[in-house]
Amino acid sequence: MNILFLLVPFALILGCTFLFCFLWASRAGQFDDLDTPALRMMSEEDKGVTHE
Amino acid sequence: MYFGQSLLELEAQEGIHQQDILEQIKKLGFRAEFLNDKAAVFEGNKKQNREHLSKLGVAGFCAGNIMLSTIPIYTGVEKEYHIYFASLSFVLFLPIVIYCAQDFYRNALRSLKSKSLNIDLPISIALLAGFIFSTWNLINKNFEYIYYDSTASFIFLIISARYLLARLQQNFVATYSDADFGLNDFYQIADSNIRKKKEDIKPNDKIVILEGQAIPIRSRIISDYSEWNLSLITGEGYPQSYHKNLIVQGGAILVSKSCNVEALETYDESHIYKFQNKLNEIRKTKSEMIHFTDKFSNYFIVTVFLIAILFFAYYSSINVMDAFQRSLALIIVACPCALALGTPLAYLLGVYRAKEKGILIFKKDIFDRILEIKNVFFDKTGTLTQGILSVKSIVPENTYFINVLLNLEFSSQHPIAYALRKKFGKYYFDLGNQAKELPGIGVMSEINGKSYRFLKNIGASSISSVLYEDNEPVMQVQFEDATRSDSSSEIVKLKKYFNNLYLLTGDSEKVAEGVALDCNIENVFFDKTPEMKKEIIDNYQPALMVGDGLNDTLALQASHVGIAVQGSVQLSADSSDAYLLNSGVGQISILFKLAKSVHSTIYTNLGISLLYNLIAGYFSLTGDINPLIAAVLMPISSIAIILNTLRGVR
Repeated sequence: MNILFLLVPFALILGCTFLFCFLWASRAGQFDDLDTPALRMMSEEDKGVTHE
Repeated sequence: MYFGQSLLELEAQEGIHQQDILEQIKKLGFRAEFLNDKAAVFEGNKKQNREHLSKLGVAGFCAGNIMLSTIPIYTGVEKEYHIYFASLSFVLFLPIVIYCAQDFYRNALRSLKSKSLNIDLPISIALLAGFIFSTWNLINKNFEYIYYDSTASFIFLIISARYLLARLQQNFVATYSDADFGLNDFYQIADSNIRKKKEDIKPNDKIVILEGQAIPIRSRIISDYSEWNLSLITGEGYPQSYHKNLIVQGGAILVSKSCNVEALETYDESHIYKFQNKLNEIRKTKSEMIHFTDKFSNYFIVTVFLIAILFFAYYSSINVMDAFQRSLALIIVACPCALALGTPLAYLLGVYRAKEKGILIFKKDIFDRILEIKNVFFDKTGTLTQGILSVKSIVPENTYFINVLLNLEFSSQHPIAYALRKKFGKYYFDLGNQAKELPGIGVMSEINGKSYRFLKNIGASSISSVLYEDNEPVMQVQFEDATRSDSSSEIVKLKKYFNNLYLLTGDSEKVAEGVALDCNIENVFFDKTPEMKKEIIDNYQPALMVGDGLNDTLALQASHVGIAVQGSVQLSADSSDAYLLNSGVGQISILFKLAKSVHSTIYTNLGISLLYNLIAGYFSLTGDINPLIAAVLMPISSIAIILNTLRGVR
């Protein structure tokens, strides 16, 4: 049972890493708009990189 | 006030500082900052959404891990480990109390300050009570009475439901107000490289319109010849030819190749802008029903609190711990989220579904008012008939008088004007006159020192008008207008919902009776001027008026519910409650059914909510529902209400 004192904090640290990744992504605006990015390639106004 | 976007719009008198306004708002318990334009609103929304999502993430993480660390206690791990897992739950619960629940505290404090109750108050109390109760039991090693797990998942579920609802509302608002009229954001200025925003176009600016583009504002045509689709303005889908110097209304779509036009107004003055503004106002309107449920949920919260306090006072003499638990369970289980959430959502969905079906709604309470209607009035031209007149005969065929007619009807949007332009447009040259429109009667103007009037021939057996030169009749024009093929079947459908249907028209008896017979309408009012139409409506309230033209404006305003049919963007922005995107009257029965489904959904929501609260409230007081089960039941009841609303409104 004593192994729990090692494993539980370890699992929590791992979980926290993912939580911080999520917080970073959310703050950086990755979840602002989930609909348009998929349609953006249809827009003519988009000034992306063009390959001649 | 736009709740969905956390936006307040206000007008201030001159001399009032922005800072003072902010101070006042702060006193009411709100934080406010000034936003410069629409883009800033979306920026503000974005910031809020990110904040909200972060809190949701943290709450989810903590709630999940608290659950995991509670399982060993439930499944009977040796007693000596209990303190370890319970403390772990305590540590994981701290971020929820300190960070995730901030919004609840803020709203609860605000509701205390302004003395108006708010759902966040019971939520905050339940959360803090659960936290203090559990922590106290943790210190006293009373491990069976620790409720970190249920309180955490309760908060997590509420935060997620709110996030979803906020995103739903934002999406709805963003898509609803942009009723797409095919307008571009930028327009090319002629003979230059400048592209101007449509909001920046000034009168006398010359703009190039390309094929398929819509013109945003009223303009004079510079190019020699062009063809326009006027379905937004007149309801007619067939393209109209326009010659140089004619005036084309905003909303017209160019069908021919490119065309140069000269702007006659700014975008702010255009009827499309006004129309969109009016659509935006739907967010400001609140129906009676929403007021009622708001009030109801306030009383509800007070009642639940009173019951909880009384119960605690009575039962604590028997068992303090148990009394506290049961009262807490009651407060958690009886949140009226279902009520406060279901009703506005039903209206919102109603408006949204209506748009899907081609009905643009300006006021939410149309769903209430349409159900009170006793009498329905239809305008004839353009509503029951196709509204496309064609010239049947013209006596005598004098080209000078024809041109006089074209000049009289120069800027008119009346079907007669279109019929004349369609048939004789090529004869047009400008005589430099100013025409005056007499709604319901005709037009008049002075040309070359003579007074000309083109008036409806009242009492004739068909639609005809006579041109008078200084009171002398000089020419007679006959028109014809076909009944829409679907009118009669739609009227039959409507007869099921409404007892009395009437035809209300300015045309003569014979024309009106003919159309009424085609459409199965028994009651006819004919030869009515716009003022007489209004009087009739006033005498037959609650009345529904369906119309399309300038001559229906008064009647539409007077009626209990005014519906403008396709081809009257200009009119509907001023006087109607709803606008039909498709021509014909078919959508009125759809709107009626929708209104009924909105109402029945609200009532079933109320029923479900009352039943749930009574049963769950009772069992939480008897102790059969502990706070843990309560925390699961409450969000489930909210979700049930949302699902019922989504299913019901269609």
